[in-house]
Amino acid sequence: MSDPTKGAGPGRRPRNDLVALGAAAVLSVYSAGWLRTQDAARMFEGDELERSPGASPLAPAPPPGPGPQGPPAGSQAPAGFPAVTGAVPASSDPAASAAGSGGVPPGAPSEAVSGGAGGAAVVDGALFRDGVYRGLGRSRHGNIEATLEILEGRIVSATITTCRTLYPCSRIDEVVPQVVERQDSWVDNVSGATVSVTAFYRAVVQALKQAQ
Amino acid sequence: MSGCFTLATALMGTVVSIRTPEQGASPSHAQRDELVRSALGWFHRIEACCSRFDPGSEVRRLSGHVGRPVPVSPILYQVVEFSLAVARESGGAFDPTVGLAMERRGFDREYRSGRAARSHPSAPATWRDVLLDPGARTVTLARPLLLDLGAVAKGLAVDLAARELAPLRNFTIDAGGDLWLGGCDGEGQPWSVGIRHPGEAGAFIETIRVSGAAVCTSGDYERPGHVLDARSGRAADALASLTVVAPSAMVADALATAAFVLGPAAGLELLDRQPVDGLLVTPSLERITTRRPGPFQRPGAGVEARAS
Repeated sequence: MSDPTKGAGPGRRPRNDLVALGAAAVLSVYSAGWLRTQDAARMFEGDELERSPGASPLAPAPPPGPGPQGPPAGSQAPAGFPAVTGAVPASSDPAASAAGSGGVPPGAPSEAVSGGAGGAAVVDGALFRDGVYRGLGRSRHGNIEATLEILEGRIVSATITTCRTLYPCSRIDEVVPQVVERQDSWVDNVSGATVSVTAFYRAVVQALKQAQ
Repeated sequence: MSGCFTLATALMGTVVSIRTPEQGASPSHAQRDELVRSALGWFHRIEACCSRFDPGSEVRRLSGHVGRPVPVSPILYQVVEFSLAVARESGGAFDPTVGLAMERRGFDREYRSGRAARSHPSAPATWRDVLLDPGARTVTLARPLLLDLGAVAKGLAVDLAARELAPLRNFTIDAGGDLWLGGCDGEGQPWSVGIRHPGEAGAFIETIRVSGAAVCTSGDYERPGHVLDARSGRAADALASLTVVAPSAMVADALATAAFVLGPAAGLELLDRQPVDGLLVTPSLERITTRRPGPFQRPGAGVEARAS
């Protein structure tokens, strides 16, 4: 336990940079995401499921990549994932990926995929039924709803239709097209937005499960 | 300013207003509204944690546990930790344990309901009676006391709101005199901030240009006696007003309060030890500024005296 009197004795004026301390305090609270995430945090207490290699029960571990961020955007699907060939159809609509209004509030009835669902994220040829599917991914920073369009058994578009996370979903815009490019739920991580990426990943997984 | 979005609402015992000039199509109004909602949400949450007027607040509940460590939220922990750091740096002139003393002086009513929030009388406590364990994120009250975190908590709320609004680039937050000025005004200039004249209602004693910084003023011209010197138990009255410009509203508000209590000489010394700018106005309207170059040191902008 810290003693607040430490270093404050006579003739020993503490050097205390309050500006630096204040900045650290603000960052700490902001990063904790206490505002919009408290309900989600409660739900996820003790369940820090991260979309890190090998940690997710929903996808096999990716191969060693060029770094902690995994393969670069637009690269081939990781080994162990069925390779997808052929032209890549439409990408996501960036405008639709922006933080939306309305939609799924945090704490809404959950449709999130639970752990142990097992391998449903893997796309294999025409395993998916055509249609438009929505999935909800929860995280301790809030919820993301993803919408996938399947045409002729392939994912032709992926969008974030609702963003209720602490940070704007624009931070993970770059990974959204990867769902179409890779025909897979496994997307790159984004430094500083790993929890949002995890929520998006979960949403895609759930949508794909419905399409099976 | 050609076009401007303004929202004002009552929060944390004051009126919080957010203003942003119209900035074309980006961000959209929907995005802007979402950002503003998120920003205001921080005020609600911090008030729920840190208000000593709300019997259900976390800080009020903490006061019911004496002599044992209590796990607290990240918000409450950070606010208490920063408050104690300011107390230490100011030699106790700023003391967050003045809650009970403030109640005794009549500052005991929740601003919306007007309901009194009273505690049981107890022996005087000081900031040294509050112990922290950063590893376990607990607060221990060594004796019965009530924390008054008002200055620091409101500043923190402004800082967090400013972070939420960062995508807007150009905006201001005004929380009852705690200002955050982000970016530029509608003319592309740093925001112009008038420092109230402590003796003339509606007049400014100084006008400065600020961008990307917080401006907070402590004074007793609006609510006499509300800044208490915990060391003497009396209201601080050696200054008429004191304004701090800092990179953080939490820092600016806490330092403005601490330096106001310390008075001209010690207050100026405190501010000069920190990377902030300050303007001190004595009851005789003598103006004193901090040493480092800053908004108060511009030519013709009130460098008129320094405390001896």
